[in-house]
Amino acid sequence: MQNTSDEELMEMLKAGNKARGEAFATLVRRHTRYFYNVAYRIVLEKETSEDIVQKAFLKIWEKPDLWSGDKAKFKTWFYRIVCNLAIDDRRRLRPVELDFDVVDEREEKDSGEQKELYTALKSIPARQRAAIMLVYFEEKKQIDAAKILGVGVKALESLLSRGKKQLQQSLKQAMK
Amino acid sequence: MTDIYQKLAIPEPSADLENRIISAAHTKIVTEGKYNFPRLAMVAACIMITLSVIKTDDSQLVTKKNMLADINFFSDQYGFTGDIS
Repeated sequence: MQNTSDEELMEMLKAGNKARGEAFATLVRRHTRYFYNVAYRIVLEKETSEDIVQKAFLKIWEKPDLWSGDKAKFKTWFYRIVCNLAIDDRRRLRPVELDFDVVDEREEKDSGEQKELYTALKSIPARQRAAIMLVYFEEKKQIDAAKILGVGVKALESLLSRGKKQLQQSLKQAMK
Repeated sequence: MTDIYQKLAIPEPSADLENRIISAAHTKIVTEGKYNFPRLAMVAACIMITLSVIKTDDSQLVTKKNMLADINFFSDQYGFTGDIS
């Protein structure tokens, strides 16, 4: 299974035969770490990022038909699922921030530059964080990043410009 | 902007994360890593407050009914109700 492509594994998953379990396990082992990092860059919490990756994988286990091979590559499609789950999670949490235990733990452990980065990133909304990550860190084309986030290119540009501005301000404040 | 994410240190995921995902798919039992205690405690506190309010109301009602019954009993002893009727 190690040499089988993601798309072939997804086809096996969809076929629902005996190899289904093994195909799923291969996908999980191949991509968990990468998508955990993606989720972490949006939610900035270890446990939540793990839960998001778990939810995303369970989604493809339960409904593999959601993926259509002729529309997108597995990784691009799964990227969209993880990003949207991460953004939804932050949106749901915004009215009442109950994750103070986790924030305090992280803030205590980090010092100097890491703390400044973490505080600055945490200060901007998750959608803006996701947009910045996709375009500047993952170096995705704006049109692809917009598709992942489910917005138009103009809306993405607006997210980027607001996010950059706010992030720069937060970093300046943190460095004072 | 690229630097910010390059510099950000990402903590290692739990060692059992992959196995947790695979077993969750097979057993359909999802164990979440996030610590939900504050949220659950808040919900439990709300339920307890609601229940205590309901219970208090009932007990007060019962006490009031008993008091009324006592008053009626004493009233009858003195024949007040008979006079009224």
